[in-house]
Amino acid sequence: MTLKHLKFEEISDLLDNELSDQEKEQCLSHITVCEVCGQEFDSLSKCLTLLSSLKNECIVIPDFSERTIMICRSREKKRLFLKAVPAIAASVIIIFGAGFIRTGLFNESGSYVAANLTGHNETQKIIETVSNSNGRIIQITQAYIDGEFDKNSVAAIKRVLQKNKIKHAFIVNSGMLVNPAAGRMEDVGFTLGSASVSLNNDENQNYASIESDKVRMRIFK
Amino acid sequence: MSPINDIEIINRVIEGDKEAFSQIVQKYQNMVFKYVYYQFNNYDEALDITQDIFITVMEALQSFRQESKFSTWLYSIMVNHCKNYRKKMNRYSTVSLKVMKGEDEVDLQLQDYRENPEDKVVNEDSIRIIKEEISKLPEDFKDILTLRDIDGLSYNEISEILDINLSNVKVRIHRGREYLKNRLHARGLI
Repeated sequence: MTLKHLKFEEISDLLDNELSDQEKEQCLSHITVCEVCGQEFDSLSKCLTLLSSLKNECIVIPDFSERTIMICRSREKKRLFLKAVPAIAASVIIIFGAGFIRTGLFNESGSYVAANLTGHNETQKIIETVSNSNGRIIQITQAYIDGEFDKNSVAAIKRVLQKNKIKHAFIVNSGMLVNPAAGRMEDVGFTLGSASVSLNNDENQNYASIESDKVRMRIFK
Repeated sequence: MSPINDIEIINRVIEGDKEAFSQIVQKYQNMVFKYVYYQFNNYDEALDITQDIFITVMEALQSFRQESKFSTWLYSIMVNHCKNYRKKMNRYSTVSLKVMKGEDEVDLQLQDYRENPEDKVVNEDSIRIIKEEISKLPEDFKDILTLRDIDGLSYNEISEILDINLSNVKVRIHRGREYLKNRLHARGLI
């Protein structure tokens, strides 16, 4: 038996069965004769008893299992969706982007202009077609553009206009249009919105009979 | 339920039988809840945290490499979750832990005083006081005393769960117990 008081660690280890047989015997022998260490041993023993009593404490808790599985499933679905979001976003951007580019919905500054863009583009196309064919613009109104071309260029111009499905007619003299389909002249009055000529662009044109090197054409927007 | 059964259940869950996880939850939920409850001394808070712990465990199940007991792995998640929660709530100071592995467990030979039913005559007032005092413990004492003296885990298991070496486990247990014993003594409970 040791006469020296036990350290707290020794008492703690004794209660935890962490001492060798010899150490354990020495400590127990000391405790039985040393009141101070005996009290320390009792105090710690009671303290640990109180703590371990909490293990058996009855606390009513709900069953976590169902909710856990439900939440995990929901989060897994969400994760799968979030994984798919970049692909969906990319698809949407590509589809809309292609659509915008195809329909020409971007203006020069890159901003989107919703109104009258089709008309604007057609006007631009007509002007470009006229200028590319060495022709000249005689007048531009909201409804049509009058242009003058060499006879040699007419076939090429007509191809472009037909390709873009732009209505057009040949001007024989003021107030009169020649319908290439019908091969005869019609008075359309040359006023806005009054050009009622129905043209079939696929039929042979009759402009060859016009007595001039220059041909005038009314191109409707 | 044996550890082998835990592994069997886990494998089933990993293979897609999510419902099997309910067996794991039902087996460990009391233990997890009590640990959390004594850490925060708040019933509602403990419910939420316990729920989060099981969600974390289920979602992390694929990463369980089966090198340790499932319960040890679950305890590690539980302890870390509580630490992170404390940090998040800024309610307590944080603890830094060093990584080292310990030795083998010592065989039990002495009578376990804590398991003696005659010694467990405690009244509600005592329970209230001990809970209060546990909640006031410094964080590193609170963790370790809950694992050791309430949950009854071995030193080796605690070493693995808290990721600290065995001697640190012992030192912390001794200091924590001394601290708590003095507090309970000051309140006239022991």
